[in-house]
Amino acid sequence: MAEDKDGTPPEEPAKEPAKEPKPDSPPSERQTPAPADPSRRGALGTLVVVGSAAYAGALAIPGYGFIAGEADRLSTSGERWLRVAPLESLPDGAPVRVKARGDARDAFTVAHDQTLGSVWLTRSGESVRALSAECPHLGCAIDLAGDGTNYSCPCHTSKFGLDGQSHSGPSPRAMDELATRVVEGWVEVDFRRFRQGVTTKMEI
Amino acid sequence: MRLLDWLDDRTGYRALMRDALDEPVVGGARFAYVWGSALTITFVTQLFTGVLLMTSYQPSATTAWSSVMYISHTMTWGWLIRGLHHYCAQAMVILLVMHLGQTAIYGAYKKPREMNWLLGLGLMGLTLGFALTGYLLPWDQKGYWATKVATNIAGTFPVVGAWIQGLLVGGADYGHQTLTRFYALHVFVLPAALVALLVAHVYLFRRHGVTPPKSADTNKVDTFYPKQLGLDLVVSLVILAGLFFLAIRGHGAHLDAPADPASDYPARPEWYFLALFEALKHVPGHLEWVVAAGIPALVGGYLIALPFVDTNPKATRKQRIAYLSPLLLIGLGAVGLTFMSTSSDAADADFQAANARAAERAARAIELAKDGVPPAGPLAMLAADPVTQGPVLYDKHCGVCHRLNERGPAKGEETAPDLTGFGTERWVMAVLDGPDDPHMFGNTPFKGQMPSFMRPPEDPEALEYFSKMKDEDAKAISAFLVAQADGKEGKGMAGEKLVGQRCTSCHRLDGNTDDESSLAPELRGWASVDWIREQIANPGSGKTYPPGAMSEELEGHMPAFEQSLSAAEIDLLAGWLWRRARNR
Repeated sequence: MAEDKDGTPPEEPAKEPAKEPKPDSPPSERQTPAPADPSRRGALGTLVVVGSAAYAGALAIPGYGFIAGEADRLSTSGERWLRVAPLESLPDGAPVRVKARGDARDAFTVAHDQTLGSVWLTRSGESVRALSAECPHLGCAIDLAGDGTNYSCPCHTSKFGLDGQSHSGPSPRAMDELATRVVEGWVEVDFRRFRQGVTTKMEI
Repeated sequence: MRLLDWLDDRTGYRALMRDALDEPVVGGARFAYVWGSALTITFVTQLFTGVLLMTSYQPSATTAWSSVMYISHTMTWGWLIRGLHHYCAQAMVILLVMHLGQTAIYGAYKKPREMNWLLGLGLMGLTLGFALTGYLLPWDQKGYWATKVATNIAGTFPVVGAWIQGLLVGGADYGHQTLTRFYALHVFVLPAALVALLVAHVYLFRRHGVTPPKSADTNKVDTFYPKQLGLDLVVSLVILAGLFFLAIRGHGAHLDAPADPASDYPARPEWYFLALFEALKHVPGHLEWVVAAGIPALVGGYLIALPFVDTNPKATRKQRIAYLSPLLLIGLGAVGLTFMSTSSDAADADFQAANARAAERAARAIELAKDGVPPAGPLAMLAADPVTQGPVLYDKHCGVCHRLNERGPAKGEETAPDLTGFGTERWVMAVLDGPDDPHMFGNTPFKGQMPSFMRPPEDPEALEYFSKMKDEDAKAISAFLVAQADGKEGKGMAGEKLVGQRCTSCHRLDGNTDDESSLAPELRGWASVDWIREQIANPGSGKTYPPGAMSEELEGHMPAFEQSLSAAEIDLLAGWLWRRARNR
């Protein structure tokens, strides 16, 4: 940068009144310098736009990955057998709601022995049918309707038979059945969760 | 285009854009003017990365560290986002100095630009406020201790000190409230204030324009766009490249171990506060505030006064040196103090050792936290970790008497058996060979209780009855005892029968002994994790040694720890000891 070493001329630029924008005049009255060579301005302008886009992109791309990356990180899909109730505690033929308990992972936190959700169990002899209590419509908790002959969702009044089939209401599919097994007298459920609001049963 | 015409008709955005982009740069665009724009662009970068971090950061004493760990070590690009935010904050401090320096050297603080100079100083104060508040947010050892020291200094100010400290800390001690207060300052109050001052700063800058050097040809007038903006952008891209380089080189920003109020930590502030930190080391405690508040107040006061002191509009750059030299001196002093601080730390072996311990603890904490942090937080996680807590508990409770590998008393100075290899063949052979050796029971009240089975006794009477144990018998006994230590039953092993014949005249096996008054310990399960746990809890419970082993006459016997250690701590210690004895 050019610098004066001799110090003779005053450092403040010599101001010709016409050149000095009047601070208090509206922008339209200020002197606007004539754009130099328009093509030069055009080429430089393009470079500036490209450079700005590069700067923004260098931040936006990892930024999007940062936000989007969490969507499938904590997917719980896969086999997960949870012990829910002693077989002997279940009455034959009548649905019983039990809690599914296990380790809950939420981002960086792991908590042991947490309630993960609930499951409707219906015993018939030595086998047990398990239906997820999460409504396939929009995920409210399904309850047994008053007389015990069907399931009902309290949110949008979807009705299901005791076999889980959808009878009436907005639910797009039957209640989600979960695999069961009996180990050492305990009922174990393969606890999984499924996408809501779609007609096919898709694990999440 | 029609849509844009409509938009322009309703908003007049084109005129606004023209006004913004066609700002005249009298004397021509130059690199000297880039620093303000570069600061603005880095600030926008900080807003962007900061908002991203906000989406995952959780400001509470039990979650802050874990969420930062999760951002840095688990989330996609998390290390990069946090790394950029961290290094960009430091870049802003450097750019502030450049901007201030350029403004001062060009004399751009003089009439009519005094107000903008003052606004700039306000912006500098806010940027340092960001640095101070942001440092605490990860709630790691570094941020916790450095900020604690800073607020404690604020607390020593006369009259208002305690009041300010109370407002900042939000309680008697650092905790949830401190963190949320610093967070609110960092993500809302300071940004809002900075944006407000920045708008005023840019407005005034536009009003008065640039201050070209006297050599500039004032007939030459560039527009802000594209030439000056192009220069600004070139510098900003170079800075961004530098930030990426730093972030990638260190794989993000460092995260120390979680803040632990009960730990020793060699606290140091960020590098740009090191000079002040070093200065504090050389003043007595009661005068600390004079330095901590006085030096910044003096520098700030001088900067504020500068445009009102140096008023000659025709002064040359040479004539201005007189007014700027105090700043230069302070700058040189700061560099000198910073150098003193870093070189004294580099020469301080204790500091280096403490730093190494802190780094080890940080690495361990991060390794554990990757598998999930309990809801009680990272300190609870570390407290339950044998690798972290084992050495701490051992040094405090066991290492006073017992040696274990390199821990505990020096060789020959043990007042209890060396636990190196405890439960292995080497240890069993050593006790059969020389139970009264100094590294066995020689320096304990149990000296003389057990004879050597390998060395002939000195007493001639005893020598008559002595027959050296056969090597294969010793090996068999050892194999049986090692099986016990490994948690196996060892039923039917050759050594079990030999122990029944040779050892139970004093020792117990399944509680049976020929001599009920003997003090020798139970050999079933000997040196197993369970056995060690019982021994730590109460050596006289009968499960390891008989109650007589706790007799007052046996001065220097092992105490019971069930009162001073929790069951969980004893569990942890027993498991750790068992593994460390085998060098695992």
